[in-house]
Amino acid sequence: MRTTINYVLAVVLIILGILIAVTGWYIFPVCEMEGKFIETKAGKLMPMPCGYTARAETGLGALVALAGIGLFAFRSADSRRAFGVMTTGLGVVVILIPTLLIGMCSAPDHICRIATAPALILLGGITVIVGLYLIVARNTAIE
Amino acid sequence: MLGIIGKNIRHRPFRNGILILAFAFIAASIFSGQYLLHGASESIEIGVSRMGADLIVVPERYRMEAMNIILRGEPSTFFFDASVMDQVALVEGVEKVAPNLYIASLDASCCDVPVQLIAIEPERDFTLKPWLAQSQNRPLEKDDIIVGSRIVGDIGTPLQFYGHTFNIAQRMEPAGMGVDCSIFMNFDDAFVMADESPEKAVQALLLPEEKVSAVLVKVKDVRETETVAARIEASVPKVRVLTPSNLLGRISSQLTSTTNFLDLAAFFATLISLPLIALVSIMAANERRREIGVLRALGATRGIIFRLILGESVIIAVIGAVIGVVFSWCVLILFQNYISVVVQIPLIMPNLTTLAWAAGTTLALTIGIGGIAALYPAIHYSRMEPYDAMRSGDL
Repeated sequence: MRTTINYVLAVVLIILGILIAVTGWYIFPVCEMEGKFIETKAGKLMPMPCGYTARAETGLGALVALAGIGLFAFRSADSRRAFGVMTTGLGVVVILIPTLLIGMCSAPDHICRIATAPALILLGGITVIVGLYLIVARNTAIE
Repeated sequence: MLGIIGKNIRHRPFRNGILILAFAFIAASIFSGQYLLHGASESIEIGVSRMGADLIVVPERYRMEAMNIILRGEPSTFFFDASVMDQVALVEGVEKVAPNLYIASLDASCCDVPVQLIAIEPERDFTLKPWLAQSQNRPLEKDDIIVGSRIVGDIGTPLQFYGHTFNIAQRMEPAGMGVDCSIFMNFDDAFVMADESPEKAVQALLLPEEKVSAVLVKVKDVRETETVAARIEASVPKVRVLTPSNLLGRISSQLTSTTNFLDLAAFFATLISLPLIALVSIMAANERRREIGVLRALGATRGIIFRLILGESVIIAVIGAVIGVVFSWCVLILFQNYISVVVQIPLIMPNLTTLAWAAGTTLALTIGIGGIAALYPAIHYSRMEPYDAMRSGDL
């Protein structure tokens, strides 16, 4: 039973990782996917802040998915707790990137502000909950 | 007893986990429907009170455009003769009138799309004056503007419209309505902006003299609002009167379809879950027939067995309902603006009393569903004799 719970949590983490990675590009595409860029005085097109957020979230999503894969491979209670700590930290950063660290566009009606950021906060929150569960759940060395 | 119920629930984590998810889905659907309904109604109330008027008189042919300005902030420019204001002031039951000018902006640095500029007459205005007196203790000065909550820019920063530079003097609290995307300015500043526009703006703004876009009305007795509205429409030609009730009516079709969908989802989830939960309760009780027999033999009454089986289902329902309410609450708060744009309804978070009431109702309904589903196995197995239960049961 414990093994099955581990597998379920591993699958949940992989799905969460994929969702975090693709949200900014495909589910709620950020401004640059609609062709909106910042134009410098030299005429160069630069991504808006939401573009950088989407790029950072792609990396974080990959790491969350990697934690899920790791949970499949390493089944000891200590590994599980370690993945829990890693996942909790990643979840917090997933939330902090669109809110504090990089942010989104300043216009309140941009899709990145009303949809992409909330979706990433929600996914980050779920990741934190899964991570905390992995840390605090009863010692579950896998038979 | 709670200890036994807790152990029973933990003993079958997957089966009970799925049941908890089913209850969570039912609770989330019921709660979301109520949240949207109350959120939209309260948004309309706050939006209309922010306008500060009991009634808004607009040109007959621009009724929809006016509604879209108020509800969604979709910019529009229209006018009717300013003499309408004097005619409205003479209608019985009208206490005060004040003119508004609606001007759709060109693109501005604050926003990707044009926004609604609303010019007010400081001498007659009764909508923003009391609010301004409260919030900044001084009237609107030359080139001062008040911006809605969704306009970019801090207080004191300049914003340009039609080539004229204004200063943000104050920012309004979110209302979930068109006022969030609107900018308020003085009549005089609006005319200066229009005069300068041929030279400074890419497109000239034409503001005809002796014209207004809307007349805001304060009635003597708020209980007579609808009657006064009917009197204005009867005595002043070619105008329509917008009241809070017909603004709510305008969004009710969109709102109804959304809440109907959520109610339908809750109904079908209940329809599917109810027999499933009943079946799982029967299976769970059947698996524990010997345990029930032992408990009965040790002196447990029928009532205890009944409460044990019913309690398990109710606790699962409570856990599911709490998860459903909390999760849907988080999703609705996070995606509030997105839902408002997609469903095209004004939306804010309802006040805490309403939310507590909605959460309580949801919890009660979900627990009720859990209780009903477990009623048959609870009655059936509590009536079983200890010997029969132990003989045929397997642990």
